[in-house]
Amino acid sequence: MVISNECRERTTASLSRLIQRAPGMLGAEICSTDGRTFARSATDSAGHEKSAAMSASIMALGESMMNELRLGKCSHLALSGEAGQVVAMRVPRTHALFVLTVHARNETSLGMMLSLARACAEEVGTLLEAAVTAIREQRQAANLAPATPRADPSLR
Amino acid sequence: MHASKILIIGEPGSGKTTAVAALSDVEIVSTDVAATDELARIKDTTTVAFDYGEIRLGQDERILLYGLPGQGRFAHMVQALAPGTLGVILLLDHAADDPLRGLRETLHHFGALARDRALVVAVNKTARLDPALRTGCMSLLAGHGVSAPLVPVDARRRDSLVPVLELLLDLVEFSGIEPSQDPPLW
Repeated sequence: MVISNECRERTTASLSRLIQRAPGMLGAEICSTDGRTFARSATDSAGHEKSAAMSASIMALGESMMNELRLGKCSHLALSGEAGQVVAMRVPRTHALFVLTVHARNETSLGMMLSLARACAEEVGTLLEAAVTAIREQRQAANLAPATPRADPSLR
Repeated sequence: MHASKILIIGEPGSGKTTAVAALSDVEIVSTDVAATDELARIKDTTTVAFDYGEIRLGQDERILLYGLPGQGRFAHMVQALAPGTLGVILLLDHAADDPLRGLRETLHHFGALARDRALVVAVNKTARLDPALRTGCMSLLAGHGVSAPLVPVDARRRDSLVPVLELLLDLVEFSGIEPSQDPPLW
Protein backbone atom coordinates (compact mmCIF):
# COMPACT_ATOMS: atom_id res chain seq x y z
CA MET A 1 0.00 0.00 0.00
CA VAL A 2 1.25 3.47 -0.85
CA ILE A 3 -0.22 6.94 -0.54
CA SER A 4 -3.01 6.98 -3.10
CA ASN A 5 -3.09 8.99 -6.28
CA GLU A 6 -6.33 10.50 -5.05
CA CYS A 7 -4.53 11.82 -1.98
CA ARG A 8 -1.73 13.17 -4.13
CA GLU A 9 -4.26 14.87 -6.42
CA ARG A 10 -6.07 16.42 -3.46
CA THR A 11 -2.72 17.66 -2.15
CA THR A 12 -1.90 19.16 -5.55
CA ALA A 13 -5.34 20.83 -5.61
CA SER A 14 -4.64 22.33 -2.20
CA LEU A 15 -1.33 23.71 -3.48
CA SER A 16 -3.05 25.14 -6.56
CA ARG A 17 -5.60 26.94 -4.38
CA LEU A 18 -2.76 28.32 -2.26
CA ILE A 19 -0.94 29.96 -5.15
CA GLN A 20 -4.17 31.51 -6.41
CA ARG A 21 -4.92 33.20 -3.11
CA ALA A 22 -2.53 36.12 -3.51
CA PRO A 23 -0.98 38.00 -6.43
CA GLY A 24 2.66 37.17 -7.03
CA MET A 25 2.52 33.61 -5.74
CA LEU A 26 4.62 31.49 -8.10
CA GLY A 27 4.63 27.96 -6.77
CA ALA A 28 4.16 25.54 -3.92
CA GLU A 29 5.53 22.07 -3.35
CA ILE A 30 5.16 19.25 -0.87
CA CYS A 31 8.28 17.10 -0.61
CA SER A 32 9.44 14.39 1.73
CA THR A 33 12.00 15.47 4.31
CA ASP A 34 14.55 13.37 2.42
CA GLY A 35 14.07 15.47 -0.68
CA ARG A 36 11.59 13.84 -3.05
CA THR A 37 8.66 15.67 -4.65
CA PHE A 38 5.24 14.42 -3.59
CA ALA A 39 3.04 17.15 -5.11
CA ARG A 40 3.68 20.45 -6.84
CA SER A 41 1.76 23.34 -8.35
CA ALA A 42 3.54 26.25 -10.00
CA THR A 43 3.10 28.98 -12.55
CA ASP A 44 6.76 28.67 -13.50
CA SER A 45 9.20 25.80 -13.93
CA ALA A 46 12.15 27.43 -12.17
CA GLY A 47 14.12 25.01 -10.03
CA HIS A 48 11.65 22.21 -10.65
CA GLU A 49 14.19 19.39 -10.73
CA LYS A 50 16.16 20.39 -7.67
CA SER A 51 13.68 22.21 -5.47
CA ALA A 52 12.58 19.20 -3.40
CA ALA A 53 16.12 18.18 -2.45
CA MET A 54 17.07 21.79 -1.75
CA SER A 55 13.96 22.26 0.41
CA ALA A 56 14.94 19.19 2.42
CA SER A 57 18.48 20.49 2.85
CA ILE A 58 17.56 24.00 3.99
CA MET A 59 14.82 22.72 6.31
CA ALA A 60 17.24 20.32 7.98
CA LEU A 61 19.95 22.99 8.19
CA GLY A 62 17.51 25.53 9.63
CA GLU A 63 16.30 23.10 12.26
CA SER A 64 19.88 22.14 13.13
CA MET A 65 20.79 25.80 13.55
CA MET A 66 17.81 26.53 15.79
CA ASN A 67 18.72 23.50 17.85
CA GLU A 68 22.39 24.51 18.01
CA LEU A 69 21.45 28.03 19.17
CA ARG A 70 18.94 26.57 21.65
CA LEU A 71 16.12 28.64 20.17
CA GLY A 72 13.50 25.94 20.25
CA LYS A 73 11.60 24.22 17.51
CA CYS A 74 11.84 25.75 14.03
CA SER A 75 8.41 26.89 12.86
CA HIS A 76 9.41 28.03 9.39
CA LEU A 77 12.25 29.28 7.21
CA ALA A 78 12.06 32.48 5.18
CA LEU A 79 14.45 33.51 2.41
CA SER A 80 14.24 36.95 0.84
CA GLY A 81 15.85 38.02 -2.42
CA GLU A 82 15.80 40.85 -4.93
CA ALA A 83 13.00 39.31 -6.95
CA GLY A 84 11.10 37.22 -4.47
CA GLN A 85 10.81 35.16 -1.36
CA VAL A 86 10.72 31.53 -0.24
CA VAL A 87 8.96 30.10 2.80
CA ALA A 88 9.41 26.51 4.01
CA MET A 89 7.80 24.68 6.92
CA ARG A 90 7.10 21.19 8.15
CA VAL A 91 3.68 19.75 7.41
CA PRO A 92 2.06 19.02 10.79
CA ARG A 93 0.69 15.65 11.93
CA THR A 94 2.62 13.57 9.39
CA HIS A 95 5.35 12.08 11.60
CA ALA A 96 7.59 14.96 10.44
CA LEU A 97 7.87 13.37 7.01
CA PHE A 98 6.84 16.25 4.75
CA VAL A 99 7.87 19.85 4.01
CA LEU A 100 5.83 22.59 2.32
CA THR A 101 7.80 25.14 0.31
CA VAL A 102 6.22 28.23 -1.26
CA HIS A 103 7.87 30.83 -3.48
CA ALA A 104 6.52 34.18 -4.61
CA ARG A 105 7.52 37.49 -6.13
CA ASN A 106 8.07 40.39 -3.75
CA GLU A 107 4.60 41.82 -4.41
CA THR A 108 3.34 39.13 -2.00
CA SER A 109 4.26 40.15 1.54
CA LEU A 110 6.10 37.72 3.77
CA GLY A 111 3.27 37.88 6.28
CA MET A 112 0.74 36.95 3.64
CA MET A 113 2.91 34.07 2.44
CA LEU A 114 3.35 32.73 5.96
CA SER A 115 -0.33 32.96 6.75
CA LEU A 116 -1.41 31.21 3.55
CA ALA A 117 1.36 28.60 3.80
CA ARG A 118 0.42 27.70 7.38
CA ALA A 119 -3.22 27.23 6.42
CA CYS A 120 -2.20 25.06 3.47
CA ALA A 121 0.20 23.01 5.61
CA GLU A 122 -2.64 22.35 8.07
CA GLU A 123 -4.92 21.25 5.24
CA VAL A 124 -2.30 19.01 3.66
CA GLY A 125 -1.35 17.66 7.09
CA THR A 126 -4.92 16.51 7.60
CA LEU A 127 -4.94 14.89 4.16
CA LEU A 128 -1.62 13.09 4.60
CA GLU A 129 -2.16 12.17 8.24
CA ALA A 130 -5.09 10.01 7.25
CA ALA A 131 -3.12 8.35 4.45
CA VAL A 132 -0.01 7.74 6.54
CA THR A 133 -2.08 6.40 9.41
CA ALA A 134 -3.98 4.03 7.09
CA ILE A 135 -0.72 2.67 5.70
CA ARG A 136 0.75 2.21 9.13
CA GLU A 137 -2.34 0.47 10.48
CA GLN A 138 -2.41 -1.89 7.53
CA ARG A 139 1.27 -2.70 7.96
CA GLN A 140 0.86 -3.27 11.67
CA ALA A 141 -2.06 -5.59 11.00
CA ALA A 142 0.09 -7.56 8.59
CA ASN A 143 2.92 -7.47 11.13
CA LEU A 144 5.11 -5.79 8.55
CA ALA A 145 5.44 -2.45 10.25
CA PRO A 146 8.96 -1.07 10.34
CA ALA A 147 10.60 -0.51 13.70
CA THR A 148 9.95 3.24 13.67
CA PRO A 149 7.48 5.51 11.87
CA ARG A 150 10.48 7.36 10.41
CA ALA A 151 11.46 4.48 8.17
CA ASP A 152 8.40 3.53 6.20
CA PRO A 153 9.41 2.77 2.60
CA SER A 154 5.81 2.77 1.42
CA LEU A 155 5.48 6.56 1.62
CA ARG A 156 6.23 7.06 -2.02
CA MET B 1 42.89 30.04 13.55
CA HIS B 2 43.72 28.09 10.38
CA ALA B 3 41.10 25.67 9.12
CA SER B 4 41.30 22.99 6.43
CA LYS B 5 38.20 21.47 4.91
CA ILE B 6 37.80 17.74 4.21
CA LEU B 7 34.72 16.34 2.48
CA ILE B 8 33.50 12.79 3.03
CA ILE B 9 31.45 11.34 0.19
CA GLY B 10 30.05 7.92 -0.65
CA GLU B 11 26.87 6.02 -1.32
CA PRO B 12 24.02 6.14 1.21
CA GLY B 13 24.76 3.78 4.07
CA SER B 14 28.52 3.69 3.50
CA GLY B 15 29.27 5.17 6.94
CA LYS B 16 29.81 8.90 6.34
CA THR B 17 27.84 10.11 9.36
CA THR B 18 29.50 7.46 11.52
CA ALA B 19 32.94 8.53 10.31
CA VAL B 20 32.35 12.22 11.03
CA ALA B 21 31.07 11.37 14.51
CA ALA B 22 34.05 9.09 15.20
CA LEU B 23 36.61 11.68 14.10
CA SER B 24 35.11 14.85 15.51
CA ASP B 25 36.40 16.48 18.67
CA VAL B 26 33.17 18.46 18.96
CA GLU B 27 29.55 17.37 18.99
CA ILE B 28 28.60 16.96 15.36
CA VAL B 29 25.93 18.95 13.56
CA SER B 30 23.65 16.44 11.91
CA THR B 31 20.95 16.89 9.27
CA ASP B 32 19.69 13.33 9.25
CA VAL B 33 16.00 12.81 8.52
CA ALA B 34 13.73 9.84 7.97
CA ALA B 35 14.38 7.93 4.76
CA THR B 36 11.20 7.44 2.74
CA ASP B 37 12.56 5.69 -0.36
CA GLU B 38 14.19 2.30 -0.95
CA LEU B 39 16.98 3.28 1.42
CA ALA B 40 14.51 2.85 4.32
CA ARG B 41 14.81 -0.89 3.85
CA ILE B 42 18.41 -0.81 5.08
CA LYS B 43 18.53 2.26 7.37
CA ASP B 44 16.11 4.57 9.14
CA THR B 45 17.68 7.93 8.40
CA THR B 46 19.63 9.74 5.72
CA THR B 47 21.68 12.96 5.59
CA VAL B 48 20.06 15.73 3.51
CA ALA B 49 22.47 18.66 3.94
CA PHE B 50 25.68 17.65 5.72
CA ASP B 51 27.17 16.25 8.89
CA TYR B 52 29.69 18.63 10.38
CA GLY B 53 32.48 17.91 12.79
CA GLU B 54 35.90 19.29 13.70
CA ILE B 55 39.30 17.92 14.58
CA ARG B 56 41.24 20.28 16.82
CA LEU B 57 44.98 20.38 16.18
CA GLY B 58 46.30 22.50 19.01
CA GLN B 59 45.23 26.11 19.58
CA ASP B 60 45.59 27.39 16.05
CA GLU B 61 44.49 24.69 13.64
CA ARG B 62 41.32 22.79 12.89
CA ILE B 63 40.26 20.27 10.29
CA LEU B 64 36.63 20.81 9.30
CA LEU B 65 34.84 17.61 8.37
CA TYR B 66 31.76 17.64 6.14
CA GLY B 67 29.91 14.42 5.43
CA LEU B 68 27.80 14.92 2.33
CA PRO B 69 24.54 13.23 1.34
CA GLY B 70 25.06 10.16 -0.84
CA GLN B 71 22.16 10.61 -3.24
CA GLY B 72 22.75 12.45 -6.50
CA ARG B 73 19.74 14.70 -5.93
CA PHE B 74 21.77 16.46 -3.23
CA ALA B 75 24.59 17.42 -5.61
CA HIS B 76 23.83 21.08 -4.77
CA MET B 77 25.49 20.50 -1.41
CA VAL B 78 28.74 19.62 -3.19
CA GLN B 79 28.56 22.84 -5.20
CA ALA B 80 28.01 24.75 -1.97
CA LEU B 81 30.79 23.11 0.00
CA ALA B 82 33.47 22.27 -2.58
CA PRO B 83 35.23 25.67 -2.71
CA GLY B 84 38.30 25.63 -0.50
CA THR B 85 38.25 21.88 0.03
CA LEU B 86 41.64 20.39 0.75
CA GLY B 87 40.83 16.75 0.12
CA VAL B 88 38.14 14.12 -0.16
CA ILE B 89 37.56 10.77 1.53
CA LEU B 90 35.32 8.49 -0.52
CA LEU B 91 33.73 5.79 1.63
CA LEU B 92 32.81 2.49 0.06
CA ASP B 93 30.56 -0.08 1.71
CA HIS B 94 32.36 -3.42 1.38
CA ALA B 95 29.32 -5.22 2.86
CA ALA B 96 26.89 -3.87 0.25
CA ASP B 97 25.33 -6.30 -2.22
CA ASP B 98 27.28 -4.63 -5.00
CA PRO B 99 29.99 -2.28 -3.67
CA LEU B 100 31.07 -1.34 -7.19
CA ARG B 101 27.58 -0.08 -7.98
CA GLY B 102 27.86 2.31 -5.05
CA LEU B 103 31.25 3.53 -6.27
CA ARG B 104 29.93 3.91 -9.79
CA GLU B 105 27.01 6.03 -8.52
CA THR B 106 29.27 8.17 -6.37
CA LEU B 107 31.70 8.80 -9.22
CA HIS B 108 28.82 9.57 -11.57
CA HIS B 109 27.49 12.29 -9.30
CA PHE B 110 30.65 13.51 -7.58
CA GLY B 111 33.38 12.51 -10.04
CA ALA B 112 34.46 16.09 -10.74
CA LEU B 113 35.05 16.68 -7.04
CA ALA B 114 37.08 13.46 -6.80
CA ARG B 115 39.17 14.40 -9.84
CA ASP B 116 40.03 17.88 -8.69
CA ARG B 117 41.13 17.10 -5.14
CA ALA B 118 43.43 14.77 -3.26
CA LEU B 119 41.38 11.60 -2.71
CA VAL B 120 41.51 8.47 -0.58
CA VAL B 121 39.03 5.63 -1.06
CA ALA B 122 38.25 4.17 2.37
CA VAL B 123 36.63 0.75 2.14
CA ASN B 124 34.38 0.38 5.18
CA LYS B 125 33.10 -2.75 6.93
CA THR B 126 36.06 -4.98 6.12
CA ALA B 127 39.50 -5.67 7.56
CA ARG B 128 40.90 -6.91 4.27
CA LEU B 129 40.28 -5.83 0.72
CA ASP B 130 39.00 -8.43 -1.71
CA PRO B 131 41.52 -8.39 -4.63
CA ALA B 132 38.71 -8.55 -7.20
CA LEU B 133 37.01 -5.56 -5.57
CA ARG B 134 40.30 -3.66 -5.53
CA THR B 135 40.79 -4.32 -9.24
CA GLY B 136 37.20 -3.30 -9.99
CA CYS B 137 37.57 -0.11 -7.96
CA MET B 138 40.84 0.87 -9.62
CA SER B 139 39.30 0.30 -13.03
CA LEU B 140 36.26 2.43 -12.21
CA LEU B 141 38.40 5.19 -10.75
CA ALA B 142 40.69 5.19 -13.78
CA GLY B 143 37.63 5.37 -16.04
CA HIS B 144 36.71 8.63 -14.34
CA GLY B 145 40.23 10.00 -14.52
CA VAL B 146 40.72 9.51 -10.80
CA SER B 147 43.78 8.08 -9.10
CA ALA B 148 43.53 7.22 -5.42
CA PRO B 149 44.78 4.72 -2.86
CA LEU B 150 42.30 2.20 -1.44
CA VAL B 151 42.49 1.38 2.26
CA PRO B 152 40.26 -0.75 4.51
CA VAL B 153 38.70 1.14 7.39
CA ASP B 154 36.32 0.77 10.29
CA ALA B 155 34.32 4.00 10.16
CA ARG B 156 33.17 3.53 13.75
CA ARG B 157 36.71 3.81 15.10
CA ARG B 158 38.78 6.97 15.25
CA ASP B 159 42.02 4.99 15.40
CA SER B 160 41.08 3.35 12.13
CA LEU B 161 40.17 6.64 10.46
CA VAL B 162 43.12 8.75 11.57
CA PRO B 163 45.60 6.91 9.27
CA VAL B 164 43.23 7.60 6.36
CA LEU B 165 43.25 11.27 7.23
CA GLU B 166 47.04 11.28 7.54
CA LEU B 167 47.35 9.58 4.15
CA LEU B 168 45.05 12.20 2.65
CA LEU B 169 47.10 15.03 4.12
CA ASP B 170 50.26 13.42 2.73
CA LEU B 171 48.64 13.30 -0.71
CA VAL B 172 47.71 16.96 -0.41
CA GLU B 173 51.22 17.91 0.64
CA PHE B 174 52.85 16.14 -2.29
CA SER B 175 50.21 16.97 -4.88
CA GLY B 176 50.79 20.69 -4.75
CA ILE B 177 47.03 21.29 -4.66
CA GLU B 178 46.16 24.68 -3.30
CA PRO B 179 42.81 24.62 -1.52
CA SER B 180 42.07 28.28 -2.01
CA GLN B 181 43.60 31.22 -3.81
CA ASP B 182 42.13 33.64 -1.33
CA PRO B 183 44.01 34.59 1.82
CA PRO B 184 42.07 34.32 5.06
CA LEU B 185 40.13 37.45 5.97
CA TRP B 186 41.31 37.31 9.58
